[in-house]
Amino acid sequence: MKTLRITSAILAVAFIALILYANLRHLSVTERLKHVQLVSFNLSGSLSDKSRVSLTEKISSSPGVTACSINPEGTIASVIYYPDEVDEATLNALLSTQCNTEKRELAAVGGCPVHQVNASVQQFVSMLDLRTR
Amino acid sequence: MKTKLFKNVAVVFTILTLAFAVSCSDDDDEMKEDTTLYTRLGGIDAISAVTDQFLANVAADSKINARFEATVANSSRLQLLRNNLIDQICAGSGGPCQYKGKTMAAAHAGMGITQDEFNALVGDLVAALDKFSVPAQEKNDLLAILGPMQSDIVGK
Repeated sequence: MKTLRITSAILAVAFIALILYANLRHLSVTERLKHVQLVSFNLSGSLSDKSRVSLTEKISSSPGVTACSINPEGTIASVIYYPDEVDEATLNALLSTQCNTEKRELAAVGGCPVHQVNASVQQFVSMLDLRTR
Repeated sequence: MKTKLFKNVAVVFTILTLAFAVSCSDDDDEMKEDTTLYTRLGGIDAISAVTDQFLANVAADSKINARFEATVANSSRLQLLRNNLIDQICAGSGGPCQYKGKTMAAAHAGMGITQDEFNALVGDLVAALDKFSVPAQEKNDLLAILGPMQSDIVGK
């Protein structure tokens, strides 16, 4: 019972310390930026160069979208967006006006050059930081 | 009486001269600050916009997107990669950021990135800069900062 109490106390102190660290650390300029998400679609159907450029511009200028790119072959579209302003379904609907779309299933492991553990720790600290909400 | 007046005029003149010198000095500092590449690029918002476009280009680029798929598919990894890229450009161009990621050599060790893949990546960055009509001088200055990283990335 005593061990349990001591362990609980240590965990509580550690958690409070982590919350204090998350909220008192110096926030860099980039840490103050709004979080984004990326979605990628496979495109099919005939998409001319002109249509590709105009579709890219249309998506890029949509509210909540920070960037859009369609490759020169017209087979892949990638969109970076603010998830609190626009969602995947809306982006899919916008793209579907000129070609057939299918969400790309991206690989879950590997990748360059940011590793999952670092990213998860940063995300956890960021979640505890009331200033970044 | 005349001496006192002369002294007062001298004091006022000295104060005005000092004030002018200080204000000139401030202007010089501002001029220096204004000429950093960071400022010429448009600050953090412009760098952030170019970085997002660069990441979207890479994710749509069938030559290299397999290298980044798992990173950009995961929200927390995408966020960290984006922040690292923005910090790197911001710090390298003289802005108020500090790059906190790994060194380029450590981050790309064992990945076996080819010259063609690196060239495709640079092409995606140039396309992002062109999309925002970044002038040739600023584009070349930025590429000159990032160029030397090639030896730490290719063939490791």
